Amino acid sequence: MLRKWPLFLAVILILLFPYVLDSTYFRTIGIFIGIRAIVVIGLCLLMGYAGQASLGQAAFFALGAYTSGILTVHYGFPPWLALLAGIFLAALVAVAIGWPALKLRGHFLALATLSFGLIVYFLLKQWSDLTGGPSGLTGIPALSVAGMRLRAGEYYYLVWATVALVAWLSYNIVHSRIGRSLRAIHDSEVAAECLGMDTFRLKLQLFVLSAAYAALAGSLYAHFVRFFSPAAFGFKVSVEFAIMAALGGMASISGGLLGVATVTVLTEVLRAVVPQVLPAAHAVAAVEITTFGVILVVIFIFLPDGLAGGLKELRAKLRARASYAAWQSKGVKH
Amino acid sequence: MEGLASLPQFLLVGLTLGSIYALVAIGFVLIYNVTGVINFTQGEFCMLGAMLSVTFVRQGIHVVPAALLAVAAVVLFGALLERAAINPARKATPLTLIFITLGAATSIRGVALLFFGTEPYTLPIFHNARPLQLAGATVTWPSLTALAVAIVVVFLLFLLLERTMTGKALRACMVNKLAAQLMGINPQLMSLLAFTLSAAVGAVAGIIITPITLAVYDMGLMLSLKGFIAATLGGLASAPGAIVGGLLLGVLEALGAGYIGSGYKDVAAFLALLVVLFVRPDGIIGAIRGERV
Amino acid sequence: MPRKNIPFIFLFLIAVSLSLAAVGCGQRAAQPAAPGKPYQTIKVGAIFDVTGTGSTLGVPAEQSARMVVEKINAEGGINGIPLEVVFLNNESVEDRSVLAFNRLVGEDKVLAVAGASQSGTTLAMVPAATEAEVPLVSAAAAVSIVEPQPDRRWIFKVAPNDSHVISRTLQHMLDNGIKRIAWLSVNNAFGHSGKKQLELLAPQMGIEVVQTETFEAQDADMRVQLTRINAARPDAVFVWGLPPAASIITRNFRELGLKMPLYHSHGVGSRRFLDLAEGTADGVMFAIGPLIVAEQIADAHLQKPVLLEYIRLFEGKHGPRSTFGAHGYDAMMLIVQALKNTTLTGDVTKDRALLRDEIEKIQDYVGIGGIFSFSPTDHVGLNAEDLVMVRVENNEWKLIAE
Repeated sequence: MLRKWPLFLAVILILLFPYVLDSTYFRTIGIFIGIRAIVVIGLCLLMGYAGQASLGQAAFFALGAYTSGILTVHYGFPPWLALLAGIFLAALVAVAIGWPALKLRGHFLALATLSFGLIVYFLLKQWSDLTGGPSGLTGIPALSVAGMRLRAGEYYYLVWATVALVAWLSYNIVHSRIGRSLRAIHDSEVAAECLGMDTFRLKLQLFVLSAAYAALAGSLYAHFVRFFSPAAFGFKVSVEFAIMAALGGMASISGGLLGVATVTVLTEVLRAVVPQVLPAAHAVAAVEITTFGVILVVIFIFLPDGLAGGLKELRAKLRARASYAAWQSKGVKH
Repeated sequence: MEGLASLPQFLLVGLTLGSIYALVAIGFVLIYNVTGVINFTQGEFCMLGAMLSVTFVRQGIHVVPAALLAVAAVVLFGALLERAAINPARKATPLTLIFITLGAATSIRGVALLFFGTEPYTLPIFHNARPLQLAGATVTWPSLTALAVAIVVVFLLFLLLERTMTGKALRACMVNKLAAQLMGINPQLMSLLAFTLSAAVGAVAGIIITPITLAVYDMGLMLSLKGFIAATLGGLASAPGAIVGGLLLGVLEALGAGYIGSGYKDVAAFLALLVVLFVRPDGIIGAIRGERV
Repeated sequence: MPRKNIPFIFLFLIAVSLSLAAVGCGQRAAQPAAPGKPYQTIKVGAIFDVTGTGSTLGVPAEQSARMVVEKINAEGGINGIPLEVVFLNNESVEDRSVLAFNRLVGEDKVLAVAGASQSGTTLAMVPAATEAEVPLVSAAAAVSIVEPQPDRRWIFKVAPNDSHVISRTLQHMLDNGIKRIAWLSVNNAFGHSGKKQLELLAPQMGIEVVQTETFEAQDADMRVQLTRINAARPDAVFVWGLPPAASIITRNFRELGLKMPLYHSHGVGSRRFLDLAEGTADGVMFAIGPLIVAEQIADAHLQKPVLLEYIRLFEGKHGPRSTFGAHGYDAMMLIVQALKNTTLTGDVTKDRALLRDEIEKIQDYVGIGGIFSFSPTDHVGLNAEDLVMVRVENNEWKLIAE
């Protein structure tokens, strides 16, 4: 139990965060990080264990958000029910897309999800009677727990409780028999199939899971911002999710969290710092974008397993050095 | 339902845009087959070609030398990019390489924003040239030029790949990297060559599209996307496939917009992609090589 | 096993917290009040779409708003207290609008916020403004921003409603014998809102819409849509979009040899539109505030001196005038005007409510976009009479006398 103290410390930091940095701005950032983390954890599992990139997670995110929005605003559904409906819908759609796409080898899921993401984006704009079209959906109610309406501070804890739930769920999956099969697929799909595993079914399950996570995050997003339009779910957003997952480190749950935190904090820091140095408006955005891109490239060249992988290596190196030092001090002659 | 009378116009628009997509797709296919990298900076090569030629023309240089200068600059840039970002990471997984090119594309876009700002720019070289009437469709000079240049570029590329030793080496690498290496072909050199060629083709595409659609700092993203889809439609395996894919994508978009409705224009293109992927994964032409195990 | 990463995760989380704290320290803290004054500086926020798809609107708006700050502080501030405006860029992204708004309200403790320039990015801030009870004065066009009242009591706008622009244009069409029109709009909040207004107003005014088409803001070629429109043989074509797409459409229109009258939205009132249309804009007509033809309106017009002064200041510093710049100017000036009439108490929450009431009380304020008069049921302040009809002649703006 004591060996898990870093985990407890992390939990305490997350819990105290809104009190240490007490402001709407930081709470909002904390909530956005949490919501994105839910999507990205699913994506990390998919990319890490099924080895397939999804460039359309924003579409599942949108499915969750719009289902929650439409059902609560137009049909008066209770929010929690709408949330479940969103997850269910996303799962169904994931099966429909994943079934044909995962039967193929190569980068086909990436392409299929790319197209799917764009199609969803355009349909959201077209079907304006249902979705509000480009003008968006407004008037989404806030969430209530036991009759008490949640405000920003409490919403933060709701979101992070969900993150914890998702992380715990994923951890159990990864450490179960399914997880071991998944790791086998990651190492060599052909070998895994020779051992009798149904790789197709496992990959599909992972894809559906990642879609469900994204939809869940989407519903949380809907009840927080209470207005959104298709602009929030475009291709750029899908790419951002994928970058966060890859940067943090795939096949790693904490990697997902790491990736989201890094990207979000980095962009916020740049946005706060650069205007002090370069006041001209578009110069600011330009420097931000360029720096972000360069950092991405550099990190991927030197840390192909993402930040989590890099940290793992660092820890292993330090351990090795420590044990070598211990061995040396015992005075063993060689 | 629109009548067939509008069909020639739709086809013309589709072919014009399609030829641009084809050029971008060729760039994708070249790089993908030689290095295995899906290059998201392809669209940025187009943007750089466009923006640089606009800058040179504004400095007073005549349009043709300005264009050639711009292409040369982008080629140099493509080579630098390959050496700085792709070559060091050549042992990484394809997934990581995708993200490296995504990161590089983002940086390029940021630098373009810094130098060129957010405003769109024109290449007004067809002042008051009256459009032609051809087979019931209005053909504008920018469209005609775009088509003509695209054909010339493809022809030159064909000559290069078929008739020169370097071109044949490149093709050998595309077919089987290991065998090519055994024959003494240096894959790293081929990677550099693929990138410079794609940069050239991309820059040309960007330059010829500017009189039609204007150049702006973030035009690269959509072009990369469309080029990638066009390449996949064509099978991702060969340059002719890329050309067919590009033209097909352009025509599908135009017909979708023309006969179904403008809102569904892009949906038509992507839906077509999905259908092709699921029904004929080898694309319209050729066989795609399987994933190595 | 993921557990191995966790010790470093917590180190990382500490780094994250410290970075964010650094960001937080970068924010201005609330200043202690000087004796006798409720605040040391009066803080107002401004969020404009300076980069991204809305930059044509946001850049001049921010430049103009900054002009207001300079002008006011040169005159001694607001009732003797300097004006401090915190400018943020939402990069034309809705989430960033919300984030920027929360930062201004939570950290900088501003009394009001001006912005944003686009309908989508403004609508994103409406729930936050209502919840935080902070007045928001928008430079965007969609009528849905301020309706319904009193739900949107905290929100105001300074740009003419799309409904006013459309009815003014439709009236001009009727006066010129046009009965059947085709509509081509951009597929975003601006275009969508315009389309809804058209569908309401056209039947009321007796005009038939024979064909509707859409395009994406970044589309490159609209000849397909125009071909479809041509086949329906309308008397006139009404385009609702912004440059560069609006310019491309105009060019395509001429290339295809279409001859019927071409009307646009008030979004084309900028030099950029003309430059990008490369000489094909002659004959284009649209309804807009009088800024771009200020020199041509009657000297007796109340707005003329105000317009000419703004033009002198803006063109001296920044370049060709633009109606989007005017909206930024009006938004900031209206907040300033209301502040001058507010007795500030030093309690931010209370003062925001007092300021909101003062904005709502503004009557006959001569601005750039028009003469503003607000009321509890009208948070737009303008009507169709504030607009004029303009035609492009020889690549210049010409007021259409009516």
